[in-house]
Amino acid sequence: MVNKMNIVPEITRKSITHLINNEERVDGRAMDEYREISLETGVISKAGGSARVKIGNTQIMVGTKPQIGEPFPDTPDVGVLMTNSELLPMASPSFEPGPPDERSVELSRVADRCIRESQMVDLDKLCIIPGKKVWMVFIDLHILDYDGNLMDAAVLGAVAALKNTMIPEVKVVDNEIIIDHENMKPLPIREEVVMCTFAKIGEQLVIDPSFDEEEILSARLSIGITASDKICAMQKGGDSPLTKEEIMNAVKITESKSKELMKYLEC
Amino acid sequence: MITIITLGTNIGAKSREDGRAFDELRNLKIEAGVLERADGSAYLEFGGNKVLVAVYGPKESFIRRFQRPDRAYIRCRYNMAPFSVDDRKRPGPDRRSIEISKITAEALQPAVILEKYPRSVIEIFIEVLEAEGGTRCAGITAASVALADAGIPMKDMVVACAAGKVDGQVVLDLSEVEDKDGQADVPVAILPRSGEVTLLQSDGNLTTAEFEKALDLAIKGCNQISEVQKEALKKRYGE
Amino acid sequence: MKAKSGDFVLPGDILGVSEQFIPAEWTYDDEGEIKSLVVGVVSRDDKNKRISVVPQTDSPAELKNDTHIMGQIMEVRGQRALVKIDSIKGNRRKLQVSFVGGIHVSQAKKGYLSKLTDAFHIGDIIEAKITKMIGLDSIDLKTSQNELGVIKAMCTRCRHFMKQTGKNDVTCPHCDNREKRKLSSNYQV
Repeated sequence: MVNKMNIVPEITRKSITHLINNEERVDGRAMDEYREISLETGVISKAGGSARVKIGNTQIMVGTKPQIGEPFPDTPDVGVLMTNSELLPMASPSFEPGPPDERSVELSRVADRCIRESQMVDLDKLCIIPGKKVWMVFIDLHILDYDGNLMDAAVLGAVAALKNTMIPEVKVVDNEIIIDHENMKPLPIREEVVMCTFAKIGEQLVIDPSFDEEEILSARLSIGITASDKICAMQKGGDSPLTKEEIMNAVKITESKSKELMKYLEC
Repeated sequence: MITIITLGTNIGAKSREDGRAFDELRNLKIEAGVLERADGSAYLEFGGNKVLVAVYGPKESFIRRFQRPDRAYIRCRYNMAPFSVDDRKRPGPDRRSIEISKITAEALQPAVILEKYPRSVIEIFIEVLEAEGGTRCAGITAASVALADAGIPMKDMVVACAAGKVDGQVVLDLSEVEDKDGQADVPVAILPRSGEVTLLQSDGNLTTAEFEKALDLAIKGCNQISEVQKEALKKRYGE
Repeated sequence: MKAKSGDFVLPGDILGVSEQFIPAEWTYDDEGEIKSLVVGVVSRDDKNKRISVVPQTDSPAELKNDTHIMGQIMEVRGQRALVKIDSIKGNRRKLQVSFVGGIHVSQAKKGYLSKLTDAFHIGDIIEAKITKMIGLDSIDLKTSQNELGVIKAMCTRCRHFMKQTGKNDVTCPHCDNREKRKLSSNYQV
């Protein structure tokens, strides 16, 4: 018996690579061009905040849930952010039901780092009683349709959902927490962050890889960058190495492309 | 040590909590073919419920013991998003969602021509994005549209709706509040053309007369919803 | 109550009665009533008294005679090469079950082929056409057309994909091994 092999990418590999080496893509995009992006917020009223993001046919629903809980012992006076993702079997024939696999864990951890390290949410302001009670904000990424580039969609959706999140005013009187649902306020947001992902195919780097492009990429690079151009997270993936020139080139493109992505977050 | 101040609610009002008549459905919207990668899909909004369904297959079954030599089988996974309910739901299946998955597959099965695809599996994934009472019925109704969207041959399109008893009165299509405060909930699925029942559950106390009234009311609701299912497919595929 | 050609129908819609028509593709006979099984458009053939539905949705992937398939060679023995059928060409939907087809030595290429190993080896990705199907387990294939045959050849020595170097020749870029194949005009490397 031969090894189980996914043969479709083997058949498309040559034509996609050939086009990209001539600076063309199957869907007609430029090397540094995103697919159509749409972003709606406040779509799930039971969530604290929510966003539905689409990049091309990739679609993610993000919902946040603020809850009062105990802080981590090593950071007793700051709030907690928790990011979780589910690669739903509905989104792709290759996603299986069951506990999160490594792709899902990588996605949530990269999105989590990007948001945490950008210090986008002012976690100090989410402390209620130091060492005892803080706000914990759960960010759940529900992957509905997979057509490549989950990272950028996840970060864009998560940032939009956080900006959309309202938490009730709380007061502490005699060690008792009073939650006032009649006075809701937004989460304390400092500055926004986005992520740009590149795929190396043939000799070129392309931004926002589609599903067909991801299937044949040799290396992947995701770069998280804040509104003030601070690089706050990076993740390299794929089997092949990248050169320093390629990496710096990707960083440069990210600096300009991130401004485009930030526009979707205005409102 | 935690006190909660909530927004004022109008529980105790005479008519139904949301002002509906006893035989009135909540607002319903169905869209067919909403996902790119799935073989078939549908999106449904029903009152405050938001449900997305994807269908894959018929495809090769990798679970030998479910494989049938003479026909396909249906595997269903009903899942609630963590943000779909008031308190965050932990991801992954619980006993409730496993039961709903099973009865949903059984409710849809009688409509599908399984004999056409021996040894294969048809997978149905139901994602509840927001829940407001009646998600199992919403899931079945949307799944039928997704099956049709996948081109899977069916004798009819299964449709589901619940009736129940609230404040001593038999009413159609319970909302979340009514389900919690009510005395009984009876979800029903039917094959609308023959009127045969493919799903029936009952939770709560009803006299025989009340049960029959609830069943009739649920079937009436199913027939109304069936028209919306048809409209969704006409809109997507008719001219 | 008799449906006309071009009518838009849904699963369960009545098309006619079995005294009038023979139920054809995507219809069924429900105790004398002919009904649609899918979302589609009615096609009525009054001459042959057949009524069928043309699906407007995507349909499940179905193997039939003359279907072009993509597959991978599993085994070459004697007069027959066994092919694991992966998908229908140009159709993204998965197949209903795992199908294995066979290519007889006489169907591999136009003209005479003395040994099947001059046309295929294990691991080759091929495009072929179905010539005969009996049930789900017996499928005959052929590759004797220009665009049919090996799309990507796998080196028997080191398992890398090989480069085309002649009309029927491939060479491995890693170990310089040269082999023969029945190549498709759409060879990929």
